[in-house]
Formats: sequence, structure tokens, C-alpha cells
Amino acid sequence: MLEIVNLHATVNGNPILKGLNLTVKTGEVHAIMGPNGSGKSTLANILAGKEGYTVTKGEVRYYDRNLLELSPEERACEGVFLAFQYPVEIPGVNNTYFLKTALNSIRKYRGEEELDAMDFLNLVREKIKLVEIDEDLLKRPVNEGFSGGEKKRNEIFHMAVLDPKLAILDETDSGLDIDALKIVANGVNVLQSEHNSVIVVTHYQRLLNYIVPDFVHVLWDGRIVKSGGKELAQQLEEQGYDRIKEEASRTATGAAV
Amino acid sequence: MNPSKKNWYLTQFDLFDKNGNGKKNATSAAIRDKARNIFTSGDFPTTDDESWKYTNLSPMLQYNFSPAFIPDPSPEKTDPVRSLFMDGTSRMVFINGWLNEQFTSIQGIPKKAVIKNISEAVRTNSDLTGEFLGKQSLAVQQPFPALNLSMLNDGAFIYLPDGSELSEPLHIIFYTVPGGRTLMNQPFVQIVASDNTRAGIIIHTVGLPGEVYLSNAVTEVIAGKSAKIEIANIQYENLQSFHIHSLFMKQSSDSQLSHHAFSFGSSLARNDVSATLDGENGECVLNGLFTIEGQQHSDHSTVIDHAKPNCRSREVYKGILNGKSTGAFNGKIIVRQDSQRTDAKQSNNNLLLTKEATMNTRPQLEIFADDVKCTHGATIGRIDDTALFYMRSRGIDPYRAQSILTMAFAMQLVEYLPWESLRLQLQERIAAQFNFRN
Repeated sequence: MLEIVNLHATVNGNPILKGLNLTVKTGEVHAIMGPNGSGKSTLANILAGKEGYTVTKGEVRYYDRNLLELSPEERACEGVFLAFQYPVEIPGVNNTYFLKTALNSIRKYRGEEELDAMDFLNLVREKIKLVEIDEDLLKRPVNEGFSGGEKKRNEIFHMAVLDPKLAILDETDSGLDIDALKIVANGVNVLQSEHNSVIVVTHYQRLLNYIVPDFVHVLWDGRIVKSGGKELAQQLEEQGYDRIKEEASRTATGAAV
Repeated sequence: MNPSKKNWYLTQFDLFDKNGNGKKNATSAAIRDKARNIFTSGDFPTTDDESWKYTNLSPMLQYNFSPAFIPDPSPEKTDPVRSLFMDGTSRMVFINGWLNEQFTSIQGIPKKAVIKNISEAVRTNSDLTGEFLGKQSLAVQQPFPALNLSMLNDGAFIYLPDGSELSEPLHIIFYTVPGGRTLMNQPFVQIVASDNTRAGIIIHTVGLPGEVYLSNAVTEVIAGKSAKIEIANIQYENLQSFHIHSLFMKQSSDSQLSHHAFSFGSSLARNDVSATLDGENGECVLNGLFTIEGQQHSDHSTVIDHAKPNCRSREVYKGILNGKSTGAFNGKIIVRQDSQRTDAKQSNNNLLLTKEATMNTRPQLEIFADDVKCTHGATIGRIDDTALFYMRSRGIDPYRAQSILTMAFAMQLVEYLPWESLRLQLQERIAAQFNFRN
């Protein structure tokens, strides 16, 4: 469903991604790990269509379409969902209203009938259980005054309602205590199926105790330098990133010679 | 003042007297004389005047405005005013300055209260009108209130005796039907709320689309001890018009006076608010929202005078500017030397929807006491890019997202209103302006 080939990207002229390759098939869970500054969030933001990133080389195919040509809302309508590292507070816009507008925009794009208030409410009731979110948060402005954990749970709740084909979780584990982490992970696990794929972007291994990935990739200096199964995450946890960095620079030097 | 401009208005004063608009009542005549003296000895402000720095009146001064000497607009032109009517309220409707009896209906007024048009009140309640009418306007010696009172004819006079309460809000509409001569409509509202009174008053100033006119409005409010009064001014003048509103508020101890200003129409709108907390433990709330587009200009200039200790003021003004519109906000707070334990909070937030729109905002705090809490904050910004991207990334198109964000920005002020029917009316109006659909 997703094929990233030799992706190069810059921010303010500084190269961040330097030839990234990644293939995600339907039904797979991929974890992208890496130290700070390796380009993890850049990758997540580029996939969602955020401005401020310049793709200088390479391509991103999504179901045989050029993803990079689509506007952020078209990507969402085509089934791409980004759970934000820092969910945005929107004063004055009710969370439920926001989500209903989003869902109906997507349904309209797909030629489906928009949900009325009653159907939407039923859907919300069903999904709300997955993330154990306080119903009170639905009546409040989007993310305004939410705690860090509430914001992340709200992201997963949005994801549950919008039911994406490709969900990208950008550091969703940061700032979560272990209970919140379990709830978030449980939400993702319930939603994940053979029909959709998940990319978990994370610095730490601990989220992967609860969301078990099919593949783990290590991102360093704008490239995926190592890929493996779920055991790779465990290895990283034990050895840290330094070992991988060393290996990667050795390979780079070797390649140059 | 420019001599020819002054002569024009002197001619209008003569014509006004000859046409007998004021019906030769002694109270009105005395007020008019005082006002004319102020008007003729003064000048219209220019941008050299500090408080008019951002509002240039020269486009307005090109015109020679005349009052409507007879209440003549045809029913088909006055009928649209019905769309503003709200259920359950007493209502006074003035068309081109004259009371329209057909649309006016006042019921359930408290004992000894007076809710009358001014030309009636000066005859039947000469003691009250003599004591209160126009006093705050005449004290400040400013040209626009003076021009208004120089041709004092009709308007609303509201007097609430001690302890009385209006169970439903009073709705006052000043409607301009332009046409024929270049009209000036000069709404005047006098509100005298005695001790321990409760009341809500909603004032619309509205004009039919078409020719240019001047709407030069004055509202005077006196709130007695422990009075709780809410007032809203909603301005829907036509887009060719000029609108000036001078609001005076004076409060006694323990009173709560809230004013809500909503400004949408006119090519040039200037709103002056002068609020005086003249008794201890008073609370003054000033809320305002303007939304403008095209070449419109809107200017709010507010002064809150903490003349006595232990008072609280809360001020929230917001502006939304589209097209090439220009706006200004000046918020002055004066804390007198003896006004200890003053608690004043002011905020002014402005949203620019285009690169061509311009806003000037200026908080002005003059604090002479030492034990006070005064905060102020002013912002001028665009639609928040991170919020916009967040919404787009959930499937909402950017136009829709912008209209939702703009609407949310505006609704804060609408939600402060205590009357649901007015909230809905304004919500609909603002939604239509920003292409917002639910």
C-alpha cells in the first residue's frame, strides 16, 4: 500500500531525509525507531502533507498514486491518518463537532452518505470504549486544557472514528504513563486488522511491548540503517543506538572505499 | 470647524426648528441650545487628535447630511425591520428618527417605570427628563454627541425606579431608510436604572441598503447602587453609511453593568465608550466584536475610569478583518489615585484574514494608585497554521477549516450574551458572513 523510494527531503535547506526506503503492505505494523534528530517526525509529517518540507528526490507511492501530489485533506480522505506528536488545541471548536465534520468530509469525498447526528453519536459511543476517554472531553473544545495523556488518547479516538487505512503514530508514547500507554496501545491493537496498516514512530522501545510490530526499522541520519523483526527493538533497548550508529558509519565508510 | 460645514449644520438647526420636530418642548429646547453651543464652538476631530489617529473622517465630511423632518418611509421599505423582532420582548422601533407606533409594543412595565419615546417623555415626565436627559453627553463637550442633541427629537427614554425589574429584555430598533436627501439619523437612548434594578436592553441600529447616510447614535446609561444591567448594541448599518456611536456609562456602588457591542456594517464605524465606576465594588464589563470586509473601517475607543476603590472591570474586544478593511482599538483604563484594590483586565484579539487588512491596537493604562491588579493583552494574527493543518490532516478542506476557526474566534463574544434568541440571530449572521455551515 505504501512504497517510499529513495526519499530525500530538506527543511529550510537542511537535508533531513537522505535516501529513505520503506515498503509497507496492507495489514502490517511497522515501527520506526531512532534517536532524536534522525528524521522520524519529518517522515511522519511529509506523509501527512505538512508544509515546510521540500522533497528533493525520490517518491512516495500510496496505492499506486503519488502521495506527495495530494493535499493533506485528500490524503486523509484516501485513508492516511497522522496521530500528532503534539496534538493541536483549537479553542472554540467542540471536539465532537470537529470529528463529525472530519468524518463527513471524508465520507463525502468517498461518495458515501454523510452521517446524521444520531448515527454519529452511536458510532462515537462504540469507539469511545476503545480508548477509555472521558465523555466530558467530547464536549470540550478540541484538546483545549486536555492533559498530555488525554490529548494522545483523543488522537487515538479520532483515529478510531475515522478508521484509516494507514495510521502513522508520531511519538504517541511520549509523555504517557504506563496505564495511558496500555490504553493507547490497546486502542491501536483493536483497530489494526488485515485491512489496514500502522507505522509507529517512536524513540523508545516500551510502546512496542504493547503494540507488537511485524517489522522494526532504525532510522539514523535520514536513512533506514537497519531493519528486522520485533527482536530488533529489544536489542536497541539493551544496547542503545550507539552500536547501530557505529555499524552504520562503518558501512557508509566501507561503501565509500 | 470648516466654516461652510458649520454653516450647513446651522442651516439644518434652523430648518429643524421651523419644521417643529421637537414640538417646542422647554426641556428639549434647553438641551438643544446647550448642545448647539458646544457643537458650534468645537470642531470635528482630525487624525491629529490622539484618539482619532486611525480614523479619518474626511470621507464623511464630504457629505451634507439632513435629518428626516417628517416620518415618511413607505411600509414596504419599513417591513424588513420585522426580521429583527424577537419573541417576548417589549419593543420600540424608530424609523429615520421617528417612533413607529405600528411596530412598537410595550407591555408589562414595572410600576412607576417610564419606557417612552423622548418626545412623549419630555411632556409627561418633565422632572425625570429634566434631571437626567443628555447630561453625560453635554458634560463631555464632544462634537458628535453635541450634534445628536442639537436636533434632539425622539429616541428612547427608560427610567426604572428603585428595586424594579424588567423580566424580559427591552428591544429598541433604530432603522434608517435612506433616500431623497442625504439623511442623518441620530438615535438617542437614555437609560436610568435606579438602585437595585435588573434589566436587559438590546439596541439595534440598522439601515436598508442603498444610499449613503449618517447614523450618529448616543447611549447614556446610569446604573444605581446594586443595579444589574446588561446592554447590547448591534450595528447592521448599510455598507455606504457612516456610523458613530457615543456610549456613556456611569455606575454607583455594588452595581454590575455589562455592555456588548457587535459591529458589522457601515463604511466607517467609530464607537466611543466612556465608562465610569463611580462607587465602590462596582463591576463593569465591556465586550465587543467587529467583523469587517472590503474597504470597511471600524474603530473602537474605550475608556474605563476606575474613579472609586475596589472595582472590577473586564474588557474583551475582538476584530475580524477581511479584504482591505482597516480597524483600530484603543483601550484606556484610568485608575485614580484613591482607587486602591482596583482589578482591571483587558484583552484585544484580532484576526486578519487577508494580507491587505490592517489593524492597530493600543492598550493605554494610566494608573495612579499603587495597590491594583491590571492586566492587558493585545494580539493581531492570522488563522493559526498549525490548527489549519491539524484540521486538514483529518480531512477537512482548508476553506471549511478557516471558516470553522473564524467562527470559533467570533463565537466567544456571542456566548457572553445572556439572551439565547439574540445569540442565535448573531450566530446565523456571522455564519453567513464566513460561509460557515453546520
